[in-house]
Amino acid sequence: MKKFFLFLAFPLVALGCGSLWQWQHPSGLWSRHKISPSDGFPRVTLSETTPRVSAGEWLLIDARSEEEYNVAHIPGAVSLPSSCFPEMITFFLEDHPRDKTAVIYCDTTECDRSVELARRLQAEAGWTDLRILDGGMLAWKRSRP
Amino acid sequence: MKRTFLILLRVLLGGFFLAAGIQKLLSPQQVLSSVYSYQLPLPDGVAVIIATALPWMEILVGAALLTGVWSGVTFAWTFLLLTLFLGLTTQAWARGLVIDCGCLDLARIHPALKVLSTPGGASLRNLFLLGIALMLWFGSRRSGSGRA
Repeated sequence: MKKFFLFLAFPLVALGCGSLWQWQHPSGLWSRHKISPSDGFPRVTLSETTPRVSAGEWLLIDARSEEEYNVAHIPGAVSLPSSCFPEMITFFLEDHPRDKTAVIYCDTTECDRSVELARRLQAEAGWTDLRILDGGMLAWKRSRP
Repeated sequence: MKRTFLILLRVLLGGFFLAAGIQKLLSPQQVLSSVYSYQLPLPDGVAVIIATALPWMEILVGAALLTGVWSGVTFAWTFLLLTLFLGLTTQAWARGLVIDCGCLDLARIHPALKVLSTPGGASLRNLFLLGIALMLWFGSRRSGSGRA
């Protein structure tokens, strides 16, 4: 009986410590800190982004793999996997003009792929107005009813 | 001699769990991202619970393995976690997913070890760790003390 309770205690303690950790860590899932991005790209929220994407003013770019994009993506988003940047960028620029505001996302706010893609679009393609979608794909999933 | 070998295995396995847990603790969002990368039909709440509890589970199991406390329960969780990891990475491998396993990044030791973070490499790594856990368990049972 004691062993059974000890067995249950492992995940309960882990969940308790994990919840506190997520709360106090600067990039925790429900952090008490306001994230101040150090990569230089401004963050935009989903509610700011969706109307502008629908109106064709902003371009929404999915930086995850094509496979992940095909499983699910935010409506209106186009796929440009950060891992396929060299192969795809020429064709991508033919279809999408650089003068638009581009909002990039991956799974969450802190996933590396959106920032990596933003850096490459800025440095190698000369794209100037680049933003990161706050919360990424997770924000969209959470916003659905 | 045998006792020293078992202690070495315990330190290796415990250290592995501890290091993996600490690495995950330092990048909470990346853990959630890794959970999603396996493309399993998980509700968001479950994915968040896994991302929250998993690093601490690994730390608890790692610390318990290193100190040798609660031997039976620790082995139970060690087998459960390793079997789960093995199942996850093997299904990702079988489905041909090109993802990072989200496990301990051994490429920091040597770039060539990056291959152990692919689903195939991670499956082999998990199988190896499961082998170590089995050896430890049998070893500690034979010694009769429950501690290696």
